[in-house]
Amino acid sequence: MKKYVSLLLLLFAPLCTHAQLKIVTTIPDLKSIAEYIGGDRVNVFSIATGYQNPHFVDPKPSYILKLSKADIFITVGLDLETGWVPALLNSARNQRIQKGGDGYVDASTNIPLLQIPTSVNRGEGDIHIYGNPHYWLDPLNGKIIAQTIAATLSRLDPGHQVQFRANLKIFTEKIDAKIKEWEGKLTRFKNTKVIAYHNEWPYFEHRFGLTIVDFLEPKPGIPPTASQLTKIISIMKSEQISIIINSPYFMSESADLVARNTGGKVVTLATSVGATETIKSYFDLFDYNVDQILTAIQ
Amino acid sequence: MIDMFTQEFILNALMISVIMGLLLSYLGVHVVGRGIVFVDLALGQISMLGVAFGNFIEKDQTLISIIFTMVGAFLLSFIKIKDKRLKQEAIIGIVYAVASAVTVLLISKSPHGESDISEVLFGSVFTVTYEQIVTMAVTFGIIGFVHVIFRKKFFELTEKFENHQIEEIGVFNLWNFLFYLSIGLAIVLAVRSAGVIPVFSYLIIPPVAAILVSRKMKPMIIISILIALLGSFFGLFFATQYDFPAGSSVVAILGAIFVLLAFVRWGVNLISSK
Repeated sequence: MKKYVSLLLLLFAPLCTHAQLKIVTTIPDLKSIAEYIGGDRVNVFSIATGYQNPHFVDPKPSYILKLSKADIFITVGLDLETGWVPALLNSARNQRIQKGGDGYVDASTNIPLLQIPTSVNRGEGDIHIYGNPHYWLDPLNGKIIAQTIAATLSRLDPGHQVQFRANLKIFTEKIDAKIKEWEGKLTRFKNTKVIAYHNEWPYFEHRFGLTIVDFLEPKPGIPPTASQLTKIISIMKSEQISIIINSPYFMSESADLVARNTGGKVVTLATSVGATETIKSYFDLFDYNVDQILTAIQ
Repeated sequence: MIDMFTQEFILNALMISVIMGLLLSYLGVHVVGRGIVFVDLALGQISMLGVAFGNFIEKDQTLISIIFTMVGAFLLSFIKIKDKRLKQEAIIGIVYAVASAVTVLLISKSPHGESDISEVLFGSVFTVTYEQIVTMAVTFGIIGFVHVIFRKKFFELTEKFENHQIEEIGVFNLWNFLFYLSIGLAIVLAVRSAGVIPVFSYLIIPPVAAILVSRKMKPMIIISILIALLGSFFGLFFATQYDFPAGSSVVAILGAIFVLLAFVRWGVNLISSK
């Protein structure tokens, strides 16, 4: 019987495409995952682009309009977007997607967070009081995000539960397959020490076994200072570190300066889908980053 | 294409821009007349310093920022340069630079870095709340009322600054203090709703453009206010139609009005000199 029902649904699916769920996400990575799970049942728009710093977004009218009509809003959560999301949601006047609403999805749900500050180290400069929010940079967390999104889609569009569950399965299996490939490529470089510009790689580092020794920023959000750069140069020399990881939205001057003084290399890794034109999906993101690291180290 | 008048957030943006435009373009006539155009950036920076300090000592940022701005306005009202080689602007520039530097120093030693501070400073009129509009309407209404009632006092003072009659102003001048106080209050509130650069533009571009049209005080004030209102409306219209951030759009339109008037003025001069 169930089989027939889903067959019937498949038959009618093209007819109800107008009833697609309208989803707005804060970053393109969440958009990519939502599209894998929702398939043709969803229409997804991401507010931030992949080459933009997600901490800062200047509101444009279209963002508020999209939010006012959205069925689902997916946010990275923690305190990554506190500078702009509450204000946009407030202006959108859409009860469904307000915090606690039916269509409000906090993608950080169930994610094993890293760097949750204790009361002791809070004074040392952690800007993220709930833990580091760059968790989508671990593909295993991508699976958890996908589960959270699938649960919401099934709740709001129960008629297509089967389809969402099947998509989730495909996505999860693809991550499992790809993660072996990625880890395989990087396995020779396990425990390679690197320097990063901003503290946004702990999840990536954790998954792929790199060791980030220090950052060009003396503390998150504070541009590199002279004493910090001097310190980094001496660390890189004494520990023979040759890689500095930068992000697309940070100026490369400081990283270049350090590289010139140490003979190291600057690698710009993508923090989000869409950071370059070739990164079109969540999988491309890791393909790209793994390749960037490989070419830099070799 | 969006019909801008059907969207609540655009109407809110228009409302708060009109309130801001009305008062700031009026105060701007004094600011430009006295030759202190950077007073806005200096006071804005002092309010930012207050936010950074509040963040540093982990106390209420808004309150401390307002206190800082008030004290800053009080101190600025003492600036009277008797040496003709110098201008008040020089001192205001120094205040701006030092306040910016100290803000950076404080942030670099604050527990949470930049993120808390950016939240307070980068307002957009598209995301103002109803409460913000009410607060601004009331405060700006009071400031505007005081300025209209005592307009003679304020303009006498501005003329003295214009004519460099510094001796007549005295060491502490109540009206001078009130002037800086009103500018300080207006700027703290406006910056939070619209951001630093749009506020600076509302204060400076309309009066300067108005001077191009008329040198008489009354028409200048009226034209200045008209330009601010036109800039608000068409700036938001432009932002809505082509999907741009609000602040930059308003500044761009105000700039375009200025350029247009400068051309008209140039053309008129050309014809009348023949």
